[in-house]
Amino acid sequence: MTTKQKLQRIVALARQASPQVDQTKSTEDIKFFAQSAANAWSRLRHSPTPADSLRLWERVGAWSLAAAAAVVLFAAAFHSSAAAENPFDPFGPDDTEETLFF
Amino acid sequence: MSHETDNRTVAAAPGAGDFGDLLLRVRAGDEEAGRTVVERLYGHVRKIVLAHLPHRDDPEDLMQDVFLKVFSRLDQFRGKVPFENWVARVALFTCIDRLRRQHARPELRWADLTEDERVLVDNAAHERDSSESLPECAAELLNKLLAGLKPEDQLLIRWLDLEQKNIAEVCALTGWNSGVTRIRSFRARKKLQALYRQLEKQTS
Repeated sequence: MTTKQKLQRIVALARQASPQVDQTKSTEDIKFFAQSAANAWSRLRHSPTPADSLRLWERVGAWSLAAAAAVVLFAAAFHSSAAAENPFDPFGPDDTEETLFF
Repeated sequence: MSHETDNRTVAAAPGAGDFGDLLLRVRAGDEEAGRTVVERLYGHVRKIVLAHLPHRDDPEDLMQDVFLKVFSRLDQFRGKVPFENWVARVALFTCIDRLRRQHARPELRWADLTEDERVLVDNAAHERDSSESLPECAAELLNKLLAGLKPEDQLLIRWLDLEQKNIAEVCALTGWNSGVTRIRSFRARKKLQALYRQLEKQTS
């Protein structure tokens, strides 16, 4: 007997199982449920719209890119002005004129 | 202006039937109308939710989710199908979503079976008559096997094999076309057979 046939036997047997009995709900129960569903809906309508996560990440990405660009530009500007202001910096590059004719 | 036009579309939609006026009021935010819609569709939605209820889930909790989805997506109702059918589809996909969240694809092991279920698998494996076994036991074993499938596959097996619905009925429930339904059901049965074979291997 194949697996398919065995499963078919089990399914056929399961089909004979009595379905789950659902307890009949009273009109009061239904009214109570309808009221709570309407309340939940009302809360949902009046709650602020949740932030769109995709848009949020777009904004985070744009701000971090802008911040990174600003840091690079600031560092570049500071570096060039610092070198010009301190000609005796021991770690600074040598002047080309001095080393060329020594 | 466009909101008013949308409202008129919902109310005048052929599928809205006698819900037309109520839906118009629901869209305007009338809680009383919302309560009436819930009361009228309570039995309809409860039947669907109980038929597809993920294990250990509260039906009322799931039903509330269904009604909240219905109200918040009312503008998507075009009236091509009766309103009750549209609600049934929302209920069905809410159940699938819940199943998907719960789904951990547990591997069914021999140790997970009860004594009766083991006898049932053993009888089937050795081609013995399993008529002594309880149908409830077979149903429970099938539930355990189905838990290893994707929610859509579980539902397809339930509808087609257990409830013996035809392809047209499944298409009406899900909105899938018959080709898709046939292919999916074929794959679902193959996966179920693979799960059963795995279980059988553990017996030997």
